[in-house]
Amino acid sequence: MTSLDPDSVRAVARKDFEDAVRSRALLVLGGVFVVFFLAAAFFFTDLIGTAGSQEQQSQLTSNSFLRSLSNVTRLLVPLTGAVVAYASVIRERESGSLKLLLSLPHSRLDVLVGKLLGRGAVLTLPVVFGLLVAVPLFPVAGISFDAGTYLFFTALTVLVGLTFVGIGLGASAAATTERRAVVGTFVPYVVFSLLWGQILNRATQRLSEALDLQQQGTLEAYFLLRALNPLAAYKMVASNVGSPEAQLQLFGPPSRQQAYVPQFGELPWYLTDGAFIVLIALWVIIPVAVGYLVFEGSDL
Amino acid sequence: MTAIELSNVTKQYGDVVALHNLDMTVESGEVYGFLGPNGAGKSTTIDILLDFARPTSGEVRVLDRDAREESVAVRQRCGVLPEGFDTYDRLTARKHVEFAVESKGTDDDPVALLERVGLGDAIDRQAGGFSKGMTQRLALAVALVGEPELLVLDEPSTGLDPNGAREMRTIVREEADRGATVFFSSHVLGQVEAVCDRVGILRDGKLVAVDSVEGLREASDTGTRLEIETDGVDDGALAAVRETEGVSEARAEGSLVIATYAGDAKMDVVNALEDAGADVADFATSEASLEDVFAAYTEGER
Repeated sequence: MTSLDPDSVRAVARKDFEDAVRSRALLVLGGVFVVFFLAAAFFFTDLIGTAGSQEQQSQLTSNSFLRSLSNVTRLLVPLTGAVVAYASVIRERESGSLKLLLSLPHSRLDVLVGKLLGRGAVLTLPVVFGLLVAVPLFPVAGISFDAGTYLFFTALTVLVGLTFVGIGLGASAAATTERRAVVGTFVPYVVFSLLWGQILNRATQRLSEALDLQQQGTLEAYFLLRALNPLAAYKMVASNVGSPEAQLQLFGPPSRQQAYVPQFGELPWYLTDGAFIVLIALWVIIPVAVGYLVFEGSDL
Repeated sequence: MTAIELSNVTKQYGDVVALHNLDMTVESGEVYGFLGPNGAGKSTTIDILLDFARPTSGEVRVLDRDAREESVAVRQRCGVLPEGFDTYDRLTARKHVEFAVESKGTDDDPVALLERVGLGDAIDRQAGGFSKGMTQRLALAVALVGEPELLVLDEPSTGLDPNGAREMRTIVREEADRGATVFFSSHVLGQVEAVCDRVGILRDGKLVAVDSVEGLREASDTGTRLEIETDGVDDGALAAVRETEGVSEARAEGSLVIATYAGDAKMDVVNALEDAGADVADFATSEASLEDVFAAYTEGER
C-alpha cells in the first residue's frame, strides 16, 4: 500500500535518529568531523596569518578556505553518508527488528522516508556543528568572513552528503543481504570518487561522435555528464563560492568559467550552479524511490 | 463479524508451496489457537495477515479490510508479537513502548504496560541486555498498546519459563475478556489447549482440522502412546495386543512394542503380551505428541 503519513514518518525518523545516535561508531564519526573542520580552519588561518604577505592576506577570505576545503569534503562527507545509511534497512530486516517496526501502523514508504530524515539528521548535525565551531577562528586570525557563502557552503555540503544517504538507503531497502547493500552503496561511491573522470572522457567522446556535436555542444555535454556525478557537481559549485568570475583552478579539470565562458559567452541554464544543485538533489530522491519500489514489492 | 478470513490462499516461494489453498476463518472475540509443527506454514500465514509477505493467490481480509491494500489500517487495530523478531538494542524498554504509543497515536502509559508484562524493574534498561524471555515480554507490551481489537501472537511462549508462559496466558485471557480477538500460534499442544476456544491445525500448508478445545482433547486422548521393551515378540503376540480393548494401533520395532491406546488399557496390553509368551522388561507411556494428534485427525483420510 502506498501511503505517506506525516505523523508516522516523524515517529520513525525520531526513533531511527535516537537509535543511531546511541551508536558509538556514529558518535566517533561525528567527533572526527568536528576535529577535522576545526583543524582545517586552524591550519588555514595559521598559515595565512604567518606566511602570507600583506597583499595575499587581504585577498584571502573565508571563501578561499571553503573552496580548498571542498576538495576534502567532496570525498569525506558523502562517504560518511554512505556509512550512516547502508545498513539502515537491511540490518533491521536481517535481525528481525523490522518486523517489530512494521507490526506498527507504518507503511513501507513511511519507514523509508522516516529513515531518510533520521539518518539525514545523523549526518547533518556533525557537518553543521563542525563547520560552525570553526567560525570564530576567522575573526581571531583577522581574515574576512563571509557569512552568506559560509551558510551556502554548509547547506551544499550537507546536500552532497545526503546523496549517499539516499543511495545507501535505497541500496539497503532493495538488498536481501547486507553484503549486497554494501556493494550497492560503495560501488557507486568508488565510481563517483575515483573512476568518473575516465568514464566521463570516453562518454563525452562517444556522445560527441554519435550526435556529431560541434565544439560548443561537446563542451556542454562534457560539463553536463560531469555534473551527473554528484561529487563532481558539488565540486564545481563549491569552486564558485565567493568568486564566480574567472576562478583560476590550478589543479584538476578546467572550470566552466575557464573553458566555456570566454569562447561561447554566458552559460546555458542547464550548466548553471542552480541546475547542478537540482542534479545533486535528484541523487537523494531517485535512489530512495528505486529502493522503495523493490522494497514494497518484496516479502520480508 | 469475522476477525480473520483467508479464502483459497496459496503462497509459493519459488518451487516450495508454503500454503496450499488455505481457507480459514477466525470469528471476532474468540481465542483461536493456530497449531502446527515448525515449517507447517504458520509464520507464512501470519506474515500474510500483516502484509510482510504477499499471497501468490487468494483473498485475505483482516478486521474486514484487505490485508494488502489496507495494511496500515489493519495494523492500527492489531497488536502483534512477531516470531523471529529483534528489539532495538540501544533503546530502553520504555522507548520501545513510547515508540509504539506514538506510532499508534494512543495515550497508553508505557510504565503501566511494562509493569503488566512483568518488566516493571527493567523499564529504563536497554533492550540489548535483555534475555530472550524479557525480549518476549517487551514485545508483548508493545503489542498491547492501544487496546487492539486483534492480537496476533506468533509462538508467544518462546524463551519464557513456565512461570512466564503462565503469565502470558493470563494476559491473553484478560485481553479476550476485554473483547479482543486473539490469534495464537504454537507448535506446543499444551499451550494452545490451556487458553484457546477453538483450534485450527495446520500441516504442510493445509488446514487439516478445526475443532473446539474439547474435541482436540478427545482426539489427543485417543493417542496415548505406550512403549514396551520385550525380549522379542512374534506376530501372535502383536495380534493379541491389537485385540486388547482400547488399543487402536500396535507395531514392533525390533524388540520394542509400540501401542497407541485410549483410556487405561495400559496394564491390559502388558498382560496380553505376557500371556502371549513375551517377556516384558520395561514399559513407559508418553502424552500424545502433536504428531499423534495430527494422526488422529488425518487417519480417516488415509
